[in-house]
Amino acid sequence: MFQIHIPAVKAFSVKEALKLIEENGKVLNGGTDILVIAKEIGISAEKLVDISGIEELKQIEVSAKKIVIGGAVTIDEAKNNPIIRSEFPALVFAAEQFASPQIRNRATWAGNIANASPAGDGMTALYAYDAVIQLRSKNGRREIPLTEFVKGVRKTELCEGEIITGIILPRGHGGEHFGSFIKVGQRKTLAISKVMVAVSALIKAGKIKKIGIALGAVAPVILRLTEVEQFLTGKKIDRDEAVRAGELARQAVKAIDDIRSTADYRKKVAGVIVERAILGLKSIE
Amino acid sequence: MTKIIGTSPLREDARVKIDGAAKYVDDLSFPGMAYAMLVRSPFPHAKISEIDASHALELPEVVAVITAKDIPGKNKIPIVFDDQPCLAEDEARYIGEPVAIVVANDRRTAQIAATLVSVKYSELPAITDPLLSLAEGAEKVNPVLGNILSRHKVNKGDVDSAMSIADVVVEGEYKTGYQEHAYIETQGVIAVPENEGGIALYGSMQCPFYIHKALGYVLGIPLSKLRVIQTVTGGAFGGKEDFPSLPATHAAIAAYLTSRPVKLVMTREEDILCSTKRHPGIVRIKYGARRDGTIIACDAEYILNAGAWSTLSPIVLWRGTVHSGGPYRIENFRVDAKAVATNSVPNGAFRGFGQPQVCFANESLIDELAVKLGMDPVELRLRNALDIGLETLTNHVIKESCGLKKVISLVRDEVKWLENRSRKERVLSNGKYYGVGFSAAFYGTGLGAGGKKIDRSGAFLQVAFDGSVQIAVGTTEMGQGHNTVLSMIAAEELGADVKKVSMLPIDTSRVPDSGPTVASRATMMSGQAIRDAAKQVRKIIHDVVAKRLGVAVETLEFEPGVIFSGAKKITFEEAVTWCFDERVHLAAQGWFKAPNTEWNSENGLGDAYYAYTYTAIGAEVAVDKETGEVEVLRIVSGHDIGKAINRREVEGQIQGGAVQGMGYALYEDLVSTNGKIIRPNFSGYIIPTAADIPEIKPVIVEEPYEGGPFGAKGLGEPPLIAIAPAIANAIFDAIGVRIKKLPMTPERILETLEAVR
Ligand SMILES: Cc1cc2nc3c(=O)[nH]c(=O)nc-3n(C[C@H](O)[C@H](O)[C@H](O)COP(=O)(O)OP(=O)(O)OC[C@H]3O[C@@H](n4cnc5c(N)ncnc54)[C@H](O)[C@@H]3O)c2cc1C
Repeated sequence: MFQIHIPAVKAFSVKEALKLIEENGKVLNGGTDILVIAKEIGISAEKLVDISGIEELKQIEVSAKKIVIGGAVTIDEAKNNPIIRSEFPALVFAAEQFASPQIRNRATWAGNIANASPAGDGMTALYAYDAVIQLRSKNGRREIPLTEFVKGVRKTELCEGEIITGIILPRGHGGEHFGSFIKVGQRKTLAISKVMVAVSALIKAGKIKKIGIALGAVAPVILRLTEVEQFLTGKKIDRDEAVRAGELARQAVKAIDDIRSTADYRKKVAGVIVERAILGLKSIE
Repeated sequence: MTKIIGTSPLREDARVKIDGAAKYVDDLSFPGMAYAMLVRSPFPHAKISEIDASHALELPEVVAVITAKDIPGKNKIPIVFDDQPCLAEDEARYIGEPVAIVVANDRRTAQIAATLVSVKYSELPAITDPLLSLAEGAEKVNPVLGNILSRHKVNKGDVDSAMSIADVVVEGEYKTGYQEHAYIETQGVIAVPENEGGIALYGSMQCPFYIHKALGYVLGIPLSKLRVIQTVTGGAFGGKEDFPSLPATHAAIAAYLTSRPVKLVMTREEDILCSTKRHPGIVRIKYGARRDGTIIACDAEYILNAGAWSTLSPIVLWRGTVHSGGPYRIENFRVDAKAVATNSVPNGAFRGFGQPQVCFANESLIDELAVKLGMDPVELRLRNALDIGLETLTNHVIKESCGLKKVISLVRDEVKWLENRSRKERVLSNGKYYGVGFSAAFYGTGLGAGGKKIDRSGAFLQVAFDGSVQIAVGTTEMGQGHNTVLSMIAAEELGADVKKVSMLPIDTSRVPDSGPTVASRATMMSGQAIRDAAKQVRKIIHDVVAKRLGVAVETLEFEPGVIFSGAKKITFEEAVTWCFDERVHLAAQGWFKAPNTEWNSENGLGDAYYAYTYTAIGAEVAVDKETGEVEVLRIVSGHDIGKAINRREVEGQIQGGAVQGMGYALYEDLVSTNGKIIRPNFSGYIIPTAADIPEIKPVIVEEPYEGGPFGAKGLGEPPLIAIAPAIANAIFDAIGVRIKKLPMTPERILETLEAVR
């Protein structure tokens, strides 16, 4: 068996982790972001507090109104949870297109959020599900909606000494859960998105009861397309409506140029994938 | 009938590379070893007025800081023109150019200390666009050679008159980007001081004798005191041909001056920033044809962005030049080719060596010509294809081993060309558009007239008491199966069991110089040298056996492991014991010189190479018209290689080359602005992964070449060369637009679609 030797300090409880962070430095979760940039930002392994083994953060708690994905649950673990599969399909589709099996076995959605990249796949899906972030520090606990938690490119509300203990997803009732996730990258796997869309939908009697549409990688933060959502609410899903939604999306996007793509391409393709995502809404059997 | 040649014994290096036992250069260390790190220019062009190492030297773990003035020998790297310095002296001419070497007790300190060396630069105007470098009055980029580092021309017949009488004329301009080798192991070396002032240099490399020569230059000591040892090499693709001389000389100078072993292993970022890459190219090309499809003229212009120094650019350019019109008989042919200096990282050898750029252009244009003629593109290729008795672009009359028409036909059938090309329903069930494309190429195998002086190979073969066989050559294993294939050739020719043949590890003090491991030449050249040695040793053995058996030597027959005479039969091992009893020397030197090539540098005509490998590619794609994404569905890759010595290895080369060619065609976009490479890592530079690889069907044609071992010609490079145009032609078939720039990214495809709308 190969073992990666990371000489970081390992915490066994949240309490202990909070204490160690205060003394030591930064949270290490799956490590798939932080170890990549460790050299650049000049962080040495000794300054990391490994929270990936903390039992209380490895839980997925389900109650009537919500599900809470623990702060150290891996993307693969979350993907295999039966409630997530049946009620949050877009998050599962996002997981399936995320990185590679090796990375999914280490990386966490909490890390994806803390990293706050506008190209974060999980973030985009979580935006579409109105996620709320559960935080804890030695001063206590707090909860903030994801949309407020993320401030900009790699900027969040996370305070020094604070840990994301969970991601809260409100459970919708009174309909069937549909979702879709489309990502456009330079290759089929292990690609950072040039543009992506996540759609969550609650469908009742063939009509859209509630819908969430989030576009990633087009702006400094993930965009919720509220106008498009309003337009679609109460409607049946058909080609004309999807095409119209795509057009509305294209108009709503003010895209950016960067190394991975051009503003022009993003704007055009955002419309295309929104349209396809609406037409491709599905549930997981 | 051969017994071993044509089979597929397992790679002898497979196990250690898979289970992790193989020791790469960074796995090795020597007592007292120090670490070197380079101080590199952050400017594309700057005057260096002062180098102050005092802050770095204050760190207790820092051993030395070395600059150009400390170099004991010449401050020059020998490649072709010797223009490149080992360390920049008064001026730095590209971002990443080495300026000083920092040596420390540990790697970390070396890294930190490198940032503490303060170099006083004054920035000078930089030229990073080759067209600006060519402009009249442009600032001189390369102080030794000027801005045109190399120029080649071919002038055959009367192109202008032929164009004027052609029924159909097509032309176009095509551009290709950089390509990074992306070998899995970055550049790395260790220099170790030896007794009596010598240096042993260990490292990841293709051409140990190039490095040997370079060490002699910079250290100013006799080559006999220097040796170069190749460590297990994790991929090269041309990137470890010319470039390793730089880190090798840096480490060697450091070891020489500090009297300590010095390790220098590049980080991935450093490697992508500073090592050679495939030259970006611009090709303007024009074909004139008769109504019946006969191409009567080709006129081409080829420009390579060479970077600041000439490295191997003259030869890269030459190979591209003489292949630029494609594998066709064309009576009137003209090409003007230039390698141009810019203030950017020097480019160098890369699988295909100047051919992928021109092939993308000419094979795209052949399809354009087919459209204009209203002819099937495969028919058009067959009509003009080279064949026995016809002459190449440079008037080399092909006398043997030309399977071009055969390979084109086989690939056409395998890709179901007629059926797929005429599909009515182009939209697939997933909404994407289907397309199929074709391309063809020829590849002069070996160094040819461009590198004639070093196109020879030496080998040594000896048999031990137990009947096992040791062979030594100076060409190298870098992941391509070199050692396995050469062992097979030795076993076949000698009559020994292939499992008992071993290759001597590469050490320039112990193996003969077999020339560089480049130009798809090692199997051919070292293979022939080994055969020469094996034949001599076999004769020694057979003479003893015949004498002992009391039969005439001519009556002996052999197979791997056994020797017969009529009903009498003895094993190879017994025969070897007899030889030891008789006190004969069971060893021989082999030598092989490439056949002569004749070349007139005035008009560019002559036998550019002695033999050619012929290629045809069929590619099927699905294009998403709304996002511009291209999925390659299947590649059929056919090659006439004379003889497949090891079938599995041949298929591996074909498949690997196709994937690297796909990356070049679609994904690999190295962005450089003002000479600065943006995001030098694998999250910015996208290469294909396993998930992107389609079915790749190898088609092997064997038209034997008399001068190659068992008829073999070279194969290392051809599998990459013609992939991009086949994909471009398939995209055109799918969506009706022609992409003239590599890589064909989704952005570029959408832009082009918009433009024609
Ligand atoms: C090869 C590769 C491919 C990738 N592909 C994708 C992809 O397809 N899509 C994508 O979106 N991303 C991708 N990524 C990026 C990365 O995998 C994700 O962002 C992942 O979700 C990060 O999670 P982690 O647990 O590994 O975070 P870590 O690297 O452990 O941490 C990242 C940051 O978050 C902080 N942090 C982590 N957990 C917590 C917590 N519980 N509380 C407070 N702070 C915390 C850390 O301190 C650090 O600053 C890829 C990365 C690699 C190396």
